[in-house]
Amino acid sequence: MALVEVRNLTKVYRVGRVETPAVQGVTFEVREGEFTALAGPSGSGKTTLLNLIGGLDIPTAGEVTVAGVHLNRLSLNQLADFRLWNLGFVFQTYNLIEVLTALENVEFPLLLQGVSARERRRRAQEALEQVGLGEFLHRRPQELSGGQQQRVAVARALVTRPRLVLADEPTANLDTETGLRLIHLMERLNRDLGVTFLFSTHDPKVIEAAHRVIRLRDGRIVEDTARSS
Amino acid sequence: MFKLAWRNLWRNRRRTALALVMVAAGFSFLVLYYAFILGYLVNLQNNLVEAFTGDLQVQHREYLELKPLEHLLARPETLRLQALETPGVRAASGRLLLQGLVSTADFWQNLVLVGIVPEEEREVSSWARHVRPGRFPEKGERRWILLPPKTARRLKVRVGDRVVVMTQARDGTIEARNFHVAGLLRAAGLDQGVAVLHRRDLEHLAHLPPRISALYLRTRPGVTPSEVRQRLEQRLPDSLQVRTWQERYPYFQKILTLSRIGGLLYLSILLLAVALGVLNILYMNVAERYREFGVMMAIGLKPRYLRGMVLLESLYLTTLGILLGALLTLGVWLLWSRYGLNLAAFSQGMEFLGLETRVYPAMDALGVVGSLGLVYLFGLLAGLYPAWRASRLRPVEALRIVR
Ligand SMILES: Nc1ncnc2c1ncn2[C@@H]1O[C@H](COP(=O)(O)OP(=O)(O)OP(=O)(O)O)[C@@H](O)[C@H]1O
Ligand SMILES: [Mg+2]
Repeated sequence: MALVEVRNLTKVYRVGRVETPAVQGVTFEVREGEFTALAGPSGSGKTTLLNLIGGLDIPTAGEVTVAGVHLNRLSLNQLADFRLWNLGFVFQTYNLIEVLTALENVEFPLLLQGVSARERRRRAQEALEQVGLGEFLHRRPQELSGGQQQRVAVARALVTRPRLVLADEPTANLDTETGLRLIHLMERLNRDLGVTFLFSTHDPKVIEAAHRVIRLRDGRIVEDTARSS
Repeated sequence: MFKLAWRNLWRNRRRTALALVMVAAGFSFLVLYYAFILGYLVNLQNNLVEAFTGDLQVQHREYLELKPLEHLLARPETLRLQALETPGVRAASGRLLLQGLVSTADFWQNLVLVGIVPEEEREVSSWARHVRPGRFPEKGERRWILLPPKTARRLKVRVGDRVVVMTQARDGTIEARNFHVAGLLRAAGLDQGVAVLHRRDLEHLAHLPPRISALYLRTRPGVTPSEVRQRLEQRLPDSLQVRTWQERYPYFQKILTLSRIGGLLYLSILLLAVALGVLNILYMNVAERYREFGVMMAIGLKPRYLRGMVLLESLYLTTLGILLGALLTLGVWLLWSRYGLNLAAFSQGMEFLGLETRVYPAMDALGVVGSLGLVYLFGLLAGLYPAWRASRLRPVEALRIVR
């Protein structure tokens, strides 16, 4: 069974009398262990689609099922719990809580899960070591470079051992080289830990690194290609 | 979570410092203002007790001011000694109060005549200190009278002059005698129509054996007047009634209570202004963190925890502000209790009446609990709105905000 099932998903934003169809009748599946890119120009609906899959936004029509759970049927609080236990998020910028150190940022979801302090620390440290930041545990976000910040965000997304990590343009604020290194890090984690990644981007270099590319335009899928690598 | 709220507080140091100063100043002002009111009332009360009422009064149960010749207390010396032997009683003075008339050849004035024994009265009231010009008579002196300044002006008499004092005796006859004016008595409660003379002289004038209307008592420091009253009631005959000055003049007591509560309420208005300032600061703190709240909610933080976190921040702020305010208060308090606050500049009448014009800070349970309670109440109220706003945020909306 697919990890993510999206069926006839539609999201229409209404601002005053103007209706913007951001996502229009999209259907696709993501299987466990995939490393998939959502590509498309600005305004094509990438962010909207990821937010719908992540239960951060409510669709206008259609269905999203993640790990067998119909997100449409969950209340806001249930959605919050669902995200906490099943998903990891990486955003484009300002992913981190400014007043907490790298370690504390990574511990945060574990804190919400009610994990004991010692266990929290051990797992957060391990996750930061996995992304190569074992040396920077006690730095605050402002004391880290953009690429390091994004790596902390990846560590935080992974520390709860989620089934699926959703990343919305994780490399958009990084230079090409740093961006590519982040993507390769994500790929390695995908390979080693078997975590499914679904990320959006409009950077051709990043698209190249993906195993499967879903191209969006005006809220519709225009291409869906798998690549053997 | 507690740590997070704590650190959030220090995100914008200048702003938090400003809020802290506001809370601290509000708290200090509240406490000090209350201390002033209370100090003022204590001063007023001391003035009243010293100049007029005493701490306790012993009277016949059926004594009425309107019938001053009935139900007087006999054997005043014995009664006084009995009272003085009671633990907690520091001093006692018997006073005989009668209606009378003071006149010169040309003018006259109706007065209450108060008969005292100077050496007894010296220990009980502040009268001895408030004779100006002239002097408070010594033990053994007789046929003197102390007049209120107003009466002296009206009768056009000076210290050393002679006046005629008349009163109606028990048998209905009117008796008159000459007295020399020993001084003018400036004391609260005595400015209107009260003249003081030796009790023996007054008794002779009224054809009375030794009698007093009431025994006025002062208690020792450390005991409450009502404790002493209980002891006295056990020793004295049932026909006598012992009352604290509050019971004797319930009206004063009511005014004192009302002014305390009124002071706190009045200050709530000030606190409201402080609360609005704090609310504004907390709100700014929250508004600039929407994006971060969005991230936290995306991870799985539930709105109600977000609300709790913001409330916790306002709780920290309030507590810290109170601690700071307490330090400030302590400083002012120490100086104040050392030097006092002289009100003479504001009310000349007080000094003229022979009142103590220096006010010292005072505090009671109501003041402490009230100030703390009010500041916390307003602090939390100020946190409520920002907390509510934060918890109403939808993750998508919050995340769209990119700084
Ligand atoms: N809250 C909103 N209200 C109105 N319209 C919106 C809202 N959010 C997105 N849209 C519109 O929906 C469309 C898709 O937006 P979306 O953010 O999903 O695009 P995107 O592919 O992520 O673009 P980008 O590469 O710039 O991030 C756009 O036309 C956008 O203007
Ligand atoms: Mg986007």
